Amino acid sequence: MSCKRFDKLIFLFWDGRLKPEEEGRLKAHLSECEGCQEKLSFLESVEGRIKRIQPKEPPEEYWDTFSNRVMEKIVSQKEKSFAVRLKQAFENILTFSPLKIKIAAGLVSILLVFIIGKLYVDYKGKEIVPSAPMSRKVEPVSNLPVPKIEKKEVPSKEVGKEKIPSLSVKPQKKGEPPALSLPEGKTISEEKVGKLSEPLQEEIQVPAIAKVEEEKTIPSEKVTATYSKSEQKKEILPPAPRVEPHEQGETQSLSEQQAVIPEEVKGGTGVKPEDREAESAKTSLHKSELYKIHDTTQESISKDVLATQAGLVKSSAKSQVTFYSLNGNSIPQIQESDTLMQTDTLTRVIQVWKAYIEKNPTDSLSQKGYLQLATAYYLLAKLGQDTTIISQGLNFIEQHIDKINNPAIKEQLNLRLEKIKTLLKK
Amino acid sequence: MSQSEGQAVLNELKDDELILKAQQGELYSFDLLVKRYQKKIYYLAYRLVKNHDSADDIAQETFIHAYSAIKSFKIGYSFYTWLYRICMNLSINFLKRQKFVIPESRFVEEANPLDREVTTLDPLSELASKELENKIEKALDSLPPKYKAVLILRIYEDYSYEEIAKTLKISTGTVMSRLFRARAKMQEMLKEYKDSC
Repeated sequence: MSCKRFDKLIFLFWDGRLKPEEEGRLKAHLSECEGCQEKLSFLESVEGRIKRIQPKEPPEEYWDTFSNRVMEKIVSQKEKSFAVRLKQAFENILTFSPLKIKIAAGLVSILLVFIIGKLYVDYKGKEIVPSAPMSRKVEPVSNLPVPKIEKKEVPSKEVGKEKIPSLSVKPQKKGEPPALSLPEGKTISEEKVGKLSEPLQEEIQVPAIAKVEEEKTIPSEKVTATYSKSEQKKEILPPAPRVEPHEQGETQSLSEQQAVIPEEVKGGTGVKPEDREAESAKTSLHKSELYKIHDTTQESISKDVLATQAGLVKSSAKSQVTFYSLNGNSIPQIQESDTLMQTDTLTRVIQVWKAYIEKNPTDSLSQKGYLQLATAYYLLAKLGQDTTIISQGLNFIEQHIDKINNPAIKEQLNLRLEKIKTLLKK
Repeated sequence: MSQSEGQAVLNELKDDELILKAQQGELYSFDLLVKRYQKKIYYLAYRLVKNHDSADDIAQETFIHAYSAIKSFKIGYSFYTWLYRICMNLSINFLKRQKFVIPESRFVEEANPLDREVTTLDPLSELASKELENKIEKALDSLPPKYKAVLILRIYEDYSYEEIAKTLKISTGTVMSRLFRARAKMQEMLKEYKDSC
């Protein structure tokens, strides 16, 4: 066996890994071979020296602080671990993958659909409801300074304005009066407007009357309905609707006879004709009550007019219209401020009052009738009617002036007559 | 029981008991394990990397790695062997990254000069001996990490082939062949000093 083959055995012998028979063979060879003996001794020498080489001892402080440093790092790593995981998750999100791209594309498309849909709906809405250009809201007149009302000198226009709660004015073309809309946004159809502007003799369908219990107190002579001043300006209302009179001496006595139609009574405008019959059946009790009242005074108020007026009231402001019911004719109470009143209406008011006064010249209602007549003639004079008609009217009043018992009314009447005369002179 | 008494009791605990507590989240138990093995791990790292700072980093990293994986450690196995394996892997990786390792001290002194055998060597012989140790150190450093690791475990730790195999997760045959090659290389590098040994 050559020495080279014993090299491995020498290393194994040095490590004590040789089997006894191999060890015997090696020992036999070592006793004969000097070179192999030198190899073994060299190995022993080198590894002995290596074993003796010791690293430099670090200072004792190093060992004292070593574990602390390790534990600090462990604790800080524990705290950081959450942040690190978050960071890794964020990095994962940023890395592109087909699935992520698909999800992102889906989300983006949903967002786009939503945005486009929103824009479309907004645009469509603008087309359907065009915004009123330059529309402005009129301040409620009640906020305006109201002149102090003193006895007869109170200008009825001012009083009328006071009752208007709010109006929105829509600008029109030049020359046209400004369009006034109802405060609650309701409009009256052309058909209805045409009907209402006609004289009151015309029969109008009874709209639904919801609650008329309060009407039990409606007097025969006068019925007060509520209507919008703005509607009056539009000339869509029946003749001569107007606000509560403020005439001295008259107010108190009238108020006893007036019945303000409650808001619940309104509601006729939105009811279809076929429904009205059913509604009217339901309210038959109320109707009978109304008739009953009329019978007692031998005057009848057209329930249709009443209901129609009430229907108009539905969307109107709080101003009131007073009606007189004389011998089956309903006529509105007029005031000096009713300058927009039509000539026909005024003529009719004069005719009805004249007929009543001639029948009952000393009646308490006739006392008011003289004032109404004078007001009607005054308005006719203002409208520039034929002076002969007005003069005849003045004569009629002057003939009956002695029959007026109430001095306050008499005084008022004289004032109005003077006004008429002044107008006639002009 | 006072705090010092408690620490004393903990110090007496076996590795497995401390590991169990560390697995339950008790940092103090792991701290004791660190203190128990810090020197051995540091020296192992130092012998491999021959640099204090690097050895310190590797030793610390060894324990940090061990703590992060402490829950996976099976009770009943040698914790020390486990730590050695971690340290060895970290050191070998370090050596692989650093091809040219500059030793901190080329001439390493003996652990305790007073413990040296009293020799009758004259100064010249002593100088020659120093030079030889230097050469041996240099030869050892120049060995590939995998050979160096086997040789260090065998020489310094006096590990058996099986222990080395277990620590480095290699077979006994591989340990044997690596040891043979490492020694052969060392003899080749130091053959000119054969006569001086």
